[in-house]
Amino acid sequence: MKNRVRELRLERDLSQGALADALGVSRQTINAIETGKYDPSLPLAFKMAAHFRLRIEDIFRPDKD
Amino acid sequence: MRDQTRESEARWPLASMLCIGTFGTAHSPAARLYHRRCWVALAVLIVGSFLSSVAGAAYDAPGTRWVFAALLGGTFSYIAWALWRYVSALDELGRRVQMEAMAITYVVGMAVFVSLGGVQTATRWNISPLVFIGLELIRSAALVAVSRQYR
Repeated sequence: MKNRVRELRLERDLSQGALADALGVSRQTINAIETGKYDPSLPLAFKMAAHFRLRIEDIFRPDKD
Repeated sequence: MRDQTRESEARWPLASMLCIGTFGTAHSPAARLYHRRCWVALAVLIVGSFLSSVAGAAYDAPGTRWVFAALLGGTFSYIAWALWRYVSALDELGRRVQMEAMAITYVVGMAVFVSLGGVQTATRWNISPLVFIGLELIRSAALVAVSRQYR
């Protein structure tokens, strides 16, 4: 899964810690999502979408293969 | 401008994972509660064991061995419950890392202790139940290994 979390976070001038606090997760979780090492659960993806005021598919998209 | 170099890698608390098998007491109130529960349980075990051994020596009562057995089983059952509560309170990646470490501990522990059982049968060596605490060492090492995948 590819995502735009890092790009969206930097657009809003948020640190990983601030985004993590807003979403109720650890900074490690945000980092792992941004680096593509971890795909979030659906509830967290929805929370993220609500936070950025976007749809899930605007943030996450499947790998082509 | 954010310090992107610092944020490019998520640091996991290596020392805490290796020494106490958690992400550290500063990580969350649940972690502090878990460690407090462990210390209380171990204190009860130590004091109870001491008292039961003193009573056993003074009265030569075989029942004191059962007290020790109950204390040992009760303490580690309580710690297992407290660990489960701690893991349940983690965020989703933290829980996943802990669960993966537990899965590794299960399979490695099974292999190690079945092997030890074989050695025990061959040599008539009595394995102390306290050897099972070695599972915590396996879990700590597994935690470090698993967390590296999510750095």
